[in-house]
Amino acid sequence: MTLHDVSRPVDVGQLFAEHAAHLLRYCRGRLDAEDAEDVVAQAFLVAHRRRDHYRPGGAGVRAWLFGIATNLIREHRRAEVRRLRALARLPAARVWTADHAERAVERLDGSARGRRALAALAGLSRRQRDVLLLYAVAELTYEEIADAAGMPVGSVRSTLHRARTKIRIALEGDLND
Amino acid sequence: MTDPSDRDDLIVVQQVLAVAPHELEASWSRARALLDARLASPARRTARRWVPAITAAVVLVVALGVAGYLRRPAPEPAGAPPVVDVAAAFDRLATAASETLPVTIGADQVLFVRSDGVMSDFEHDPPIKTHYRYDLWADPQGMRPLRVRRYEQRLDVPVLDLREHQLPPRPGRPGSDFAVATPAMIAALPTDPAAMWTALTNGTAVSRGDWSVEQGVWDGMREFLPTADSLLPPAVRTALYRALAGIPGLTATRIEIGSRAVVSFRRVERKSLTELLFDEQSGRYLGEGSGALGLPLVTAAPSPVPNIPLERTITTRIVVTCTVVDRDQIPS
Repeated sequence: MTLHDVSRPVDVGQLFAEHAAHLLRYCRGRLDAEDAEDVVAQAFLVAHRRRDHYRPGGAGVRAWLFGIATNLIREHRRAEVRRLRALARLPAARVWTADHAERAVERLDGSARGRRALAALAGLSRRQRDVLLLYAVAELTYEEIADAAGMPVGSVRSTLHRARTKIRIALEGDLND
Repeated sequence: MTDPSDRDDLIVVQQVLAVAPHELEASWSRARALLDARLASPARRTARRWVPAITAAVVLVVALGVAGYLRRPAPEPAGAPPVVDVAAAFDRLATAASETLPVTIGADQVLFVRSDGVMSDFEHDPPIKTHYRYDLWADPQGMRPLRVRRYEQRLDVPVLDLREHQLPPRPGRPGSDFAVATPAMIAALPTDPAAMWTALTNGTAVSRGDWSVEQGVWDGMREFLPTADSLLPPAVRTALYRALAGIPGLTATRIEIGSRAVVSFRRVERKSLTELLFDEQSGRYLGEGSGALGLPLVTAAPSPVPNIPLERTITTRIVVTCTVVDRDQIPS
């Protein structure tokens, strides 16, 4: 779908219907509900206003939207880090598993591991956190992340590798407790 | 095959940041409402948080001064449109149309509706006006669009944009709703205003959304009247006008569009204004307008589309003509 093909009153609604749930899942993972909803609404508004700048040849509408949202999330960077650290200090990390088949993983002392992961996430650089969460939570491809984050695919791979290494080290520390 | 332990870190990250489905659903609704509100509002200016407060304050003071100067209330056109009584105006229209018999449509004929007017687009920055023309060839059985062409001319840029428009979906089976009326449904509408009101509320419920019943009916007329007006029997028209006259919150004014005396009925809900236009001489539906309260006064300037005036709160106004044409006149 290109944004030029659809009429003005309809396109933003269609876009929202198709992508809002996915985008919200990503933003709610990173921000409090109110900020996440604000970011998502603003992302679609920005997309709508800049629809003439959208080039269909790129990684797609999805990557474009996540790029806009990720840029907007940067305005909330401090709040995001504060939230991650606060969650990491909770006695039992709030763990929600959409897929019941994955509950086996949850049983592996989920709360302690979750706290370590959250603390590690808070310690990542902004770019590392963007790339990791676009990959892990938004489940974008390398190419889509490159488009969304405005960086070469090779840099996405290396940034993601460094971010994941930090998370793994944090989780391995858990085994040594 | 990937070793599951290779993804262990990703799974933990997903888990700790996952949100309950019911929370996501609630967020979806709230985000949608936020988006709708922002789409209906002029462009939001977000202050950058890193701007030093003192600089921001200075900029704000200057901006307010400039904005206050530029957006100072524009003088209303000399002689504001005279306000008229809603019920009396509808009665006069019904009387004027009482001699107008409904058109008949042959088996090989369709309705051709041309909507012509001016739109203001506040989603552009800065807002722009467009000359808007929308041509519709509709199957009378359900007013189903057979062909649609939309022309737009941005009035600040001399570019004519002609495009094939997507055929809008219409709800329900023909004759089940005012948006998908048929000649048989129109001919069978009640001639008693109270019964007509019941039919109107039932027949516009699908597209009403969370607006009030009255607004649902009023807005539903924008879908119904462009194609149905020429098919209305006089007694049905009278009942329709009397039923509409009972909608609370309506105001009526007399204006002039293209040298024609026109009655403009307006209703405001949630700061959105919906206007229906009727030709005073023929008593028939003429077009529609819309706008929102609280918009910048960019429409204070005269409308650049000949014979289609705008007002401070009417930022879009369209005149509709409907004729019966042979099916083979539909462009390929």
